[in-house]
Amino acid sequence: MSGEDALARASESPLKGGDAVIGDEGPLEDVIDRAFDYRGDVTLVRRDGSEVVGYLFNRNAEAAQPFVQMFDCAGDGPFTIRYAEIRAIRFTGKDTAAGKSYEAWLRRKAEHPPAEAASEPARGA
Amino acid sequence: MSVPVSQMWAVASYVIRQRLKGRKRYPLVLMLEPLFRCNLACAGCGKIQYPPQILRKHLTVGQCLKAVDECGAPMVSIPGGEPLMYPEIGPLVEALVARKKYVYLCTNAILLKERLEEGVFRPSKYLSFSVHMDGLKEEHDDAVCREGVYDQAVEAIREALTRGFRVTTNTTLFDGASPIRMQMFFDEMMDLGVEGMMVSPGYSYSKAPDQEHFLRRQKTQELFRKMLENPKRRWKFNQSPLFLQFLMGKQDFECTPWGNPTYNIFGWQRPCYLLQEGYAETFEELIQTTRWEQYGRASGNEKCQDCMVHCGYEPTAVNHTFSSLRGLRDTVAATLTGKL
Repeated sequence: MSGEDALARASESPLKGGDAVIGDEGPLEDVIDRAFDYRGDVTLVRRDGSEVVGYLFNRNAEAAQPFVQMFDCAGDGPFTIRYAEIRAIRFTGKDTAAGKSYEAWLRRKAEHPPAEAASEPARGA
Repeated sequence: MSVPVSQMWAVASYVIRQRLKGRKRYPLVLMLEPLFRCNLACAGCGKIQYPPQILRKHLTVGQCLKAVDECGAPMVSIPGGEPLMYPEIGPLVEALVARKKYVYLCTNAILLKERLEEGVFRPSKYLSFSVHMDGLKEEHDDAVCREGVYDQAVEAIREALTRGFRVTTNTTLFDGASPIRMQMFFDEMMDLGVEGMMVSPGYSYSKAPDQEHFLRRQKTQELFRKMLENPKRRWKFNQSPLFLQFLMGKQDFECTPWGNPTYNIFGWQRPCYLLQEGYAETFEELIQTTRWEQYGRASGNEKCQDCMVHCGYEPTAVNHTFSSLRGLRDTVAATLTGKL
């Protein structure tokens, strides 16, 4: 992957929803790895300018033609996109693994008697 | 050991057949995750942190059965997410039972009583509810971050047992667990009448909300030694005694990551139930193209160094039983004497 084709490395600080990662400073594989590890939606920009917004759940850098796979925002897919087609990836969705549910539970438990602390919101319920 | 003889025989004959065929890597338990949606958000769980459109998705029964047939494992564990929120859970279980697969439906039991009253399931020797119980009331409600769940689970267990279902428990232990309180918990579960218990240390999911309480290897061994040094005969564990000895530091095993392969809406998960390093489209592709040498403690992979979780080491323990006289002797001795 040439420098010209490559994407920028995400900053070393934790990614936050809305942080944009685009540019030409790092290898494409690094940004794809970060997108793969990210538990929120990303916006993938193709070389032709078209975009796919959704959850990037798979990547295979060892395939004959390396690719990523995504489900879009509606849950449709999987869409397979070759590395060679990718121009940029932006971390546009909220990182669902960055929640504070455990801290919130501890705080609620400390502040309220058990009976009042009974309704923890569930995931996707 | 509390596994029924028919199930023990099904597993033993399967393992012997695989060995006679010379298969180097074969699965024992398929971890089938039909959905990631859950009605709890537990502190130590890293399985459910996904955007809404992913949480809304689930596998079809057809996709599940295709995975079961591809894999061929004699046992199917259905975790998640919460499988009782899967709209097709009844037909799925029925189809698995018809295939004579031993099914462990892993549930937090919040919806269990309701599903039983709806008649979604029929009792079968092939079906066992594996109820998530992380200790006595205080510890369990703390682990699942919601008050009252322990009582709900106990009520559902009673209901399932009354209706003639097999019920086991599955317990994940974290740093700070008290050996004495855990022994009291084992007594309580036996009093309740469950068939057997499964215990395992938690895996340090990087996405779990609580990152402070995962057990390191040495602490795991200390905890399990104290907890199981003199096990009561009435405690029944639904797992290999050699795996329990491994947790106590009495056996030295290496991980068998392909032993409990995982299938979910993303495909076949590499390399194991706990790590997500990518997905394969078919089970054959998973087995053939995963770089297995990069996983397990001996590989030096940092993510594997403290892991002692059942999904990697229970298959090793089972293989050990059938691969050496010593393994068979140790298993038989532990089973007959109840000593670990």
